[in-house]
Amino acid sequence: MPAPQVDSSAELVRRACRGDMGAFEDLYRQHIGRVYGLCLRMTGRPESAEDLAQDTFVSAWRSLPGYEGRSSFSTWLHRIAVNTVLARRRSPQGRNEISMTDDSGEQMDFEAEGRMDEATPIDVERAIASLPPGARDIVVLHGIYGYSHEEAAEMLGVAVGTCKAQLHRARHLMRTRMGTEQAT
Amino acid sequence: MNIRNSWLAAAILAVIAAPAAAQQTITKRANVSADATIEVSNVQGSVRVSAWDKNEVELVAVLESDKDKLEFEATARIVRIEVDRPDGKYGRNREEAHLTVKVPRGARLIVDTVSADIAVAEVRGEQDLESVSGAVGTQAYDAPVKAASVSGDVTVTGTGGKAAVKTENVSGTATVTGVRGSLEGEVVSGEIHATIAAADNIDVSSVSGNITVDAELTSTASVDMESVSGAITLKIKPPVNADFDIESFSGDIDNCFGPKARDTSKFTPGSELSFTQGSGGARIELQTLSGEINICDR
Amino acid sequence: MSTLPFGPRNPPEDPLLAKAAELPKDVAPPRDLWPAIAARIAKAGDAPAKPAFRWPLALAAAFLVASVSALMTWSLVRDPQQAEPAVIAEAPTAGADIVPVRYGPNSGVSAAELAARDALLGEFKSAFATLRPETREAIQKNLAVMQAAADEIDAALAKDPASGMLQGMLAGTYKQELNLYSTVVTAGDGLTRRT
Repeated sequence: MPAPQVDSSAELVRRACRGDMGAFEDLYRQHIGRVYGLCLRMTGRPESAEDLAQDTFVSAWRSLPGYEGRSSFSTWLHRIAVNTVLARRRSPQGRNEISMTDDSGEQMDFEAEGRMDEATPIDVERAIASLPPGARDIVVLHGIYGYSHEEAAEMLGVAVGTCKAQLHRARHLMRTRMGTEQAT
Repeated sequence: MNIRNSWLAAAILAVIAAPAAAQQTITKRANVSADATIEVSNVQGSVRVSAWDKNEVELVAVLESDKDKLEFEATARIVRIEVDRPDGKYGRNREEAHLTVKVPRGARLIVDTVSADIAVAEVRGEQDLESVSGAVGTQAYDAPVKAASVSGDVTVTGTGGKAAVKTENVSGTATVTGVRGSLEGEVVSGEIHATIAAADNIDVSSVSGNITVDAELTSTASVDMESVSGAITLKIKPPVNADFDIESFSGDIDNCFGPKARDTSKFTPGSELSFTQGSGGARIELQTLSGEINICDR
Repeated sequence: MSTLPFGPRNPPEDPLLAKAAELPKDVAPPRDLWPAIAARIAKAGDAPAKPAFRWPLALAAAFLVASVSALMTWSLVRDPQQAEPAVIAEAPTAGADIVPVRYGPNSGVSAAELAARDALLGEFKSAFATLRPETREAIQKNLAVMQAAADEIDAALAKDPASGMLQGMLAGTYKQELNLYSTVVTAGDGLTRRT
């Protein structure tokens, strides 16, 4: 018996637009890993990431007819996720959540737990999580998920120059915190 | 009436009528949870939000320009309302968008505008209201309220509940009346005028604007008031039981409780005044660089 | 022109970004979120929002009315010297004369703090240019107030460098400057326009 054919995203979106929840569930299963991964790294908080990933898919369901296929479905979904994270960050609830930095980017004390081994993925994740929000956002979108400066800037609603400045700052901060560079 | 005048009259009528033809009125509704978060974003015009006893959000949007785009997205937990001018051009006519929103009483409210005024009534959930040049007015109940405007005025009126109120202005004036609990305020050149009862925390600062606070303090209240060159006036409802710590680099310190300021040191400028009034308890710190400081009981 | 020490692409040899790129892109949530998502969609009773239905005839009619109106307006107010209606809310060069607050030699504002401020300045200037003239003027005046305060505090710190009060005031002025930029940048931000 031949294996059932997996529908492409385009076909699943078409079906989901017509109200096919089964198709939308398939889209969820295909994309939840990346959406949750993005929310988790942008917030640094697993419990928030779950809420935000849910909010992303609920928003996506409502916005499906607006998906015109100009970007990949994954990119379109990531845009919704980024918006959802940023909106939460600006909300009264988001502001009360403990952050490694306050809104102006002033960093709270970060104690490196012993010398960080640059080669360990967990150390890299931890260093990224400790960055101020603006710098963290660009490292997540550009560094982890491979969006160009222009794409990341557009998703975050900032100028490309700001993105580049944040990336420069992020690299310096990460090196400092991972013990590979003297803080200046 | 000759033909030419008729044509001219018709042309004038067409010009006057034309903007009205572009106006759209859009109504949207959504069922929401009692503590849903409502987010509203507008550029110019107004945002008026009031509470009702339904778990429903109703929006009536009057858009004077057909170039404006209205977004309304709703789930049970979040409603997002936004007016946007996609090409970013607002033209000479400054057509406005007026949003009238009804929300559940316990809703959380986030509003941000550029020049649209924000007016909120009877919303009991958390509020975060911010404008660049619009005026912001709201009521405080029991939940945190933040009201901010760069150049517009901010008005927060208390209703008897214990609230945490935060105001931020650059050049507008913040007026806070009838509030109980906690007040944080920041201005640059604008002014802060606040009346607060059962105050357990007051933290206000300015760069050059004057600050006037009329307060009834709890026994363990913490009061911090700071200005670079603005004047600070603090009136405390008697009986006053507080520990005072007052410092100014070059401003005058006027204290009706008696003790006089003395020079900080003979090597540096500045004067300071530390004393206990009554049995102490509340902590009051006032600091200016060159602004004058006035403290008294009422 | 960017003064940052890298070009349009990140140097491929940047080890930290290379490590970031190796991190797993998919992270499974601790539990299946689908039941909660499905329940929320079902509870809201939503189908995906239907695309707006356009009435081509009414659109054409509206276009006709607008064109006629525009033509009559033009006829009525025609001025050979008048250009297209000025877009008063945009003054592309208006942000160019924003000068951030300069903190004097005694202030102790760190390079990191200035970098955070400067990272925000570009966006602020773009947003500033779209504000109304009277709002831009108010902001300019207040930046001048902050500059005067920073100068006054710096001069005072020269006489009393150990003053915690003065250092706190300087930090407060810096924070006010940053708050101003952030407020303008995020105002009317568009919560959905980038979706």
